[in-house]
Amino acid sequence: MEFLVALEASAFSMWVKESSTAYVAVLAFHTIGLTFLVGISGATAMRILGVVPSMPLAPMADFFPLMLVGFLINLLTGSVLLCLYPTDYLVDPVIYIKLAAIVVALVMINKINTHVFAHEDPETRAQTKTAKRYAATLLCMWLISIVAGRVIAYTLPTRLQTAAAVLIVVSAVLLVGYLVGRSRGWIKSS
Amino acid sequence: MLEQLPETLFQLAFVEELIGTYRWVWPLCEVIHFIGLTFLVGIITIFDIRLMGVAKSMPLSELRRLLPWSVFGFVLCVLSGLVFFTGLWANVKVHPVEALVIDPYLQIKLLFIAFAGINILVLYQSGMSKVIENLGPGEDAPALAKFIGATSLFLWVGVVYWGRLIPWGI
Repeated sequence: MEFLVALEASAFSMWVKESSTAYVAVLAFHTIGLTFLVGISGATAMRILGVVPSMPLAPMADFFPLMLVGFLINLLTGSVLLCLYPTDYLVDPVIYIKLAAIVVALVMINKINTHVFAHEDPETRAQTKTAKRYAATLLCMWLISIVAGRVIAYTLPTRLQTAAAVLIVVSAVLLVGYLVGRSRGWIKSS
Repeated sequence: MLEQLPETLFQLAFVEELIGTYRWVWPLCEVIHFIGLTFLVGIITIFDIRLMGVAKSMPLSELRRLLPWSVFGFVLCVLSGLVFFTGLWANVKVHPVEALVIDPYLQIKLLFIAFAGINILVLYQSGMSKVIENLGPGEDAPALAKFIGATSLFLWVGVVYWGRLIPWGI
């Protein structure tokens, strides 16, 4: 705990907190990194799950370097944000839920890479249940990490209520999407 | 000009009541806004950097079929953004019109969104949209399409940047 207090009071932490631009710039770049990382990996996962099946899958790998850039931006900005208020963040279970979700998401990206893209025929590999399970897990992990990241500023009852509300909204959107997709023939029964 | 508008303009009583009564409405909208951003900016980024020459083996005619999902993201952002805007008073005791007047980040964000919209119009009006439609694997986009793609990427990343700063401008 002494280390965390010292970290929180360090010259760097104080400079970022007291600067009128540094703190908000770190937050803003954290969101930009998120759009690159989650956007590109999420689009790849959606393609594996059957969205826009006519779009070739193999070239998606060429976008992965930008996904890596997004990850590095978030690793850097996330570390800075943790250094600002470590005595608050690192005793908060929600931060561990967020970090655990990110770690599992990164593992899923790696598994998709080796299971689908490292194979000579990514299209065939993407049809396997294993690939679809990785893709679905990846999307769930990103959802959990976004929710955890957002609710961290709120009290416990609000956190729980928000998580429940997100669950209900996402379930409703998926159900409506499934029913519309079935009725229009976009989703075929297996 | 904005100062002359009635300060309660854009305020919606039922949205304020929702935010005031249910503490989870605001963070729920924040989550929806962020999910919308990942759809919107993530997919537009993929499309823009392909226009700029990355991943040429991806046919643009097929990649553009992904774009409706960015529209879905935009709709999520607009809906949740409207909740923030029309219910602002219930959360931070600032009128929406006042926020438009005093918050430079909100003004810049809205300008960037407007420019991004004009950029999309240029894509269609210049005929580049039709050219792109026929671009297969390995084919390079024309210089104007690359410029439109680079402009789009700059503007949408800017929208995220300035949008994140809005709470500090109020």
